[in-house]
Amino acid sequence: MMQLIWNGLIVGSFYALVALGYSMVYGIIKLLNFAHGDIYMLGAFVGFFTLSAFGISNETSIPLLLVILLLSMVTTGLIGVGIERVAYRPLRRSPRLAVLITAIGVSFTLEYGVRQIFGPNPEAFPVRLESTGVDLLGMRVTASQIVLVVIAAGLMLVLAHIVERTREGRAMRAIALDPQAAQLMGVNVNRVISTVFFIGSSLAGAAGVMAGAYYGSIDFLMGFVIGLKAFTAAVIGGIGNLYGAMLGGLLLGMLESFGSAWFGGEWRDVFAFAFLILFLTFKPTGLLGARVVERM
Amino acid sequence: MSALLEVTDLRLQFGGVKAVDGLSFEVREGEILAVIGPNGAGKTSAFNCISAFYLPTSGSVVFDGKHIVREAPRIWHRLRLVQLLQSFGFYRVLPSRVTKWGMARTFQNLRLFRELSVLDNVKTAMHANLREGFWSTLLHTPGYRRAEEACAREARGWLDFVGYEGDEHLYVTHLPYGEQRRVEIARALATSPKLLLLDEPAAGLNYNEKQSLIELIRKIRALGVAVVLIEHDMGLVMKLAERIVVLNYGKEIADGTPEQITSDPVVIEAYLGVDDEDHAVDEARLRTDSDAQLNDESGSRS
Amino acid sequence: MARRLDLALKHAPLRAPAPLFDRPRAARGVFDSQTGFMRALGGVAVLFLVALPFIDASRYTMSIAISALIYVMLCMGLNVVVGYAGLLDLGYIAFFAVGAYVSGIFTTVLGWPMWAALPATVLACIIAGIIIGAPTLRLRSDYLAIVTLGFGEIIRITANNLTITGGPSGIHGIPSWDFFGWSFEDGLTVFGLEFPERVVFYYFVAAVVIIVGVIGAGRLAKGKLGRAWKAVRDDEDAAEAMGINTYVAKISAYIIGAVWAGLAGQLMATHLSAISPNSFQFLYSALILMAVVLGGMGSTPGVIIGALFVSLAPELLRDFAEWRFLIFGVLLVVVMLFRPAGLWPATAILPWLKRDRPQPPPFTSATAAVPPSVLESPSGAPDADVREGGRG
Ligand SMILES: Nc1ncnc2c1ncn2[C@@H]1O[C@H](COP(=O)(O)OP(=O)(O)OP(=O)(O)O)[C@@H](O)[C@H]1O
Ligand SMILES: [Mg+2]
Repeated sequence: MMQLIWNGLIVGSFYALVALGYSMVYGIIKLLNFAHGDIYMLGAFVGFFTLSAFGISNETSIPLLLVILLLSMVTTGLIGVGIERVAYRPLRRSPRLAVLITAIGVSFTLEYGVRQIFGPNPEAFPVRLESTGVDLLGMRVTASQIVLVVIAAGLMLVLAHIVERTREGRAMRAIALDPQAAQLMGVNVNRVISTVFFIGSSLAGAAGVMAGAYYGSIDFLMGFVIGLKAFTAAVIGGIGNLYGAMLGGLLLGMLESFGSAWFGGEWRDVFAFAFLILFLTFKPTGLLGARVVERM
Repeated sequence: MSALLEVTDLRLQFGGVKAVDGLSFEVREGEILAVIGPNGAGKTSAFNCISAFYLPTSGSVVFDGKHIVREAPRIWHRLRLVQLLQSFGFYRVLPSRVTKWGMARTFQNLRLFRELSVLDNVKTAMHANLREGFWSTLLHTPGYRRAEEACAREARGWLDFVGYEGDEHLYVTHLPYGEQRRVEIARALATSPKLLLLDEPAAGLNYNEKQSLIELIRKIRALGVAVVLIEHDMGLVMKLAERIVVLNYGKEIADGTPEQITSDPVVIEAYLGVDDEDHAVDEARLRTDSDAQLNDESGSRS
Repeated sequence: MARRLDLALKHAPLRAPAPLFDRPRAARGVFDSQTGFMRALGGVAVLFLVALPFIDASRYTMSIAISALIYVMLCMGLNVVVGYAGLLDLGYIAFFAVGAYVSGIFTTVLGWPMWAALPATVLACIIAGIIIGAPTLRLRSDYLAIVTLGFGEIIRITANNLTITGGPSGIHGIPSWDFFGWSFEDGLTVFGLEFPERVVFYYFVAAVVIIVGVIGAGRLAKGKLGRAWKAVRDDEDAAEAMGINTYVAKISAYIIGAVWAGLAGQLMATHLSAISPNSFQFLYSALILMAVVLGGMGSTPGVIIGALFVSLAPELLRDFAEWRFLIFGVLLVVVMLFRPAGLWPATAILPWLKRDRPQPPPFTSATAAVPPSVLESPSGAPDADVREGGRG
């Protein structure tokens, strides 16, 4: 029981990190960034590439992981900003359908671009975390898991600080509420959107590196399912709401962990998506989302 | 004459904003009623409630004897399930249903179907009145052909009625702003309404276009269709309206004939400010500014 | 005459006054009307379809041609959903899977003949369309996109896990069509023409189904239902205000898309006689979507060209096969940025038909449905907003 909760928490923190980016981008420009899951994959590959370039393999050092984490975050953040600049910004006034389709194109480009470079087969991630564990309250906890949870929690705290306490954060919230009014008030909308893409993408990149270190193998399609799951998490929490994304991620992680225990692991994804559909049917605003009347 | 539309104590709240705050009025068959009020007074919101696009917080709207606002039983309110049920279509009336009952509307900011031709825009409005089934469309039965022909004929009739003389196959985005407004009215008429709600039909029109709009609205009235119009242009309102309802901050502050309204101190206060004459000038300037802005926009759009 | 026409309309309290002046009838010739030209083009395409086996009836060619035709059918179905109704469906392949599996299970497990499985396929697709469409079509369109994506995965994983669907290895030995003891396997001789190989004959069956599918989708798009779809795509609120129940319109588009895909699925199941979950990955949903987008959403000739391109390109350019997904991804972005209406836009009017014809809107305005505003905001009411700002 406790074990299930703990496992759910680990998976859930990955979901939450990716869901945050989804939710932030959606909140600010109402775009479902399909490529977001692939940024997660890119994060893992950036880490892999750098480490391989230095000839590192099979390391277990936490400082090294942190360095790689930072590097991947910056790189994926910049890639995210670049994607927004090239593919999404020109379409900001277009209908949703056009932007969504572009996002799928971007997702495809990233996936198969990586496949063209690194090949279709899974690669072993060079930095592993120790998996020696201790028994705690009836669950098996490994050091690596604790490191992951601590890093994830730290990143979320930093994000919460940025959004709640800084000028940039206030601008983000303003744009999410009313982009035109924000612009009239002198907010540099383009810059804020770039910032949001940077933050969201770097969180996804961080999650990618952590997943690489945790599971040990990465491949070019690893972002697809987690993208979907993160979206589910964002919807459960209330899309556009940051705490909702965190809550949704953790909740989905737990649900999945219990779901696979009850129905068998092969039904895990079905269980998660069924939850998505149920939520959209009965509570489309999610747990923490506010009900808004769409303006006519 | 009996009332075609009865609005009683209508309230609509967005969070803390009381967009409509206790509005009551009625529209009799075949009359022209104007709803006026400063920007943000809640006129459009009231229209949206009446045409069932928004679900009002409370109040009732009865159109042609049918309730547009449905009351959900207490128990659902208490269980907080009303919104869920309404999203499934219970305890609410869809706007499309209200249109079928005979209420048509136009929008404040033109909302034509941009990728359809002028003719198709008007044909689309005949949706509910067309006898065409799935199989007859697939097989192109004689019944289908006849329905399509009748539909085209009717649509052309409405285009002629509103005085649109251009090419019916043009895409609407290629028409000048004034023509687009005409097509929008033709489209609303093609739903064959008893009541027509016009949201600022004269916004962005020049003098000549306004004159022909006045003619058009009189012609519509002559067909026996009641017209409710929201309008900022007082000249136009005075020429057309038989009765005027004045809103301010969501509240109804006056209801009466044009003469009564123009001499009502409360209305003058709401519109012109209490004592200062400069306000009147400011208001007028504001009005022309926003009109010019709209004209600009229509220019760049077409 | 006028009375007869009146009967074609339901009773309504208000009728338009008779048209004031006669407008010229639409031209009908091949080279001076859009319809005429399209019909001629369709005729040429049908002729080519019929002639192909006489030119090259090798097993390989026929097999490729059949899969290309199946792609065309899929794309026509998706075009109804995306092109006409403007709903983004990212799990479209799921309906293809439903069609394939339902016909496969009915014929192998239950031993029904293939023709009897047809109604079952259609019914299953309708039900699947309702199950997935009913809860999500009430929501905003982007939710639909991701839910359909999830749904596609659900179907694939389910097929992978159940025993009745044969698990990961799928279903084998799906029979071909047979009628009263005669089967496609036997070959056929009609009017002195011999169809010795099953594939050749099957090609004709596929061709007939696809021709019916293409024409059917085109006809639906032109009638009342099609106008409702396009209205919903252009402006949902305005469509609702015109008396169109937008929910019903959307769900009908969705169901029709599902049925088209299901028929294509049944065709494929009989064509390959074996199916497995791997043929129903998200990748294929995306490929079909790409075909529709590249060709031109809402444009029949465009979509057909797109389908042929996507299905034939890897066969014709072998070296390109490895790179194709990357190239398709980039193309998708490039097309959306620079030519959102596709290669053959729905509003295209060929140059030589242009004489005294209205110009279509330039492709940017054809899709840029939002008036100038800082950002696409959900309000859709920038005018009002600007003025509210001015008030304060
Ligand atoms: N969907 C919505 N969500 C939140 N607030 C809204 C919404 N729609 C309208 N409002 C607010 O309700 C108030 C009334 O707006 P409304 O558009 O009805 O005014 P109006 O009288 O039509 O003004 P105008 O003359 O500018 O058209 C405004 O303060 C507006 O900001
Ligand atoms: Mg208004």
